[in-house]
Amino acid sequence: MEKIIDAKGLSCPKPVMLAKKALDTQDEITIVVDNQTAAENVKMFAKSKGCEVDIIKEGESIYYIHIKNNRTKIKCTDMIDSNEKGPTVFVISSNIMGNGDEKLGQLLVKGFIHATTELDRLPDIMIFYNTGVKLLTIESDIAEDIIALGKKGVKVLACGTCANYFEIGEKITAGTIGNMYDIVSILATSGRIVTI
Amino acid sequence: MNDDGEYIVALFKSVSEVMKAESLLKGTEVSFKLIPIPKKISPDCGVCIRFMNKDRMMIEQILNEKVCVVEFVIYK
Repeated sequence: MEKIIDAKGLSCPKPVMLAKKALDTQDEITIVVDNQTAAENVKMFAKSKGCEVDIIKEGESIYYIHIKNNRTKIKCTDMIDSNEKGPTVFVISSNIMGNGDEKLGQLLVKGFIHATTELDRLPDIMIFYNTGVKLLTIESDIAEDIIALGKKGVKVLACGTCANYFEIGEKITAGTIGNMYDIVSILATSGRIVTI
Repeated sequence: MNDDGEYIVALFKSVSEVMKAESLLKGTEVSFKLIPIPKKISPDCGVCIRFMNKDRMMIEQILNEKVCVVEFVIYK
């Protein structure tokens, strides 16, 4: 019998954790949340585990997320316990790559992002924080590459606190602004994290 | 930059020369991109400047005598 989980009023990462726990014992669940961020995070988590996901929105902000294991393939719960669990996340924590020479670091990060666009298997999510958010602005040489990655399905998340600190919130052209709950939720449920 | 069509990549003798070329090209009307040297061109680790074939003459004029370009290679 399908399990229904009421996660209304809960902030991330709790809805994701409840979904994960339920999928340990159930093949089909519906989780109810009351904000879009939670709905997207639960969806992302379930998709990353190979589950089928349907979302029905009711009213202004109630989301019914129906998650189903695809038994013909690999069970969600099997994947949770495997080495390849969760999405692959690239963390860009600086606008330069490596420590030391700043100009060289700027050059290297351009190369890194370009090479990322040519990967056969793209990261699922890219998180930009600290000075890394500067790479997402209209003035950045590589915002175009990051926008292209977004169009290919990579979720690009910019740290809102960081954008605010550098006063560049209005200049962010690539990705969406997220908060620390989003970042922690993604990192906590990720399979692989690549940090530069 | 349009990702279709034929590109040229300019290879330089050092990373410093690439940086110098990049700063010369910035602010001009030429569309270019600094990228890692594609593996099919060279197994060497390094960076190069990629641009559309139609801009080659203008690029050569801007870089002429200021930066040492080792080679221009067609890259599709």
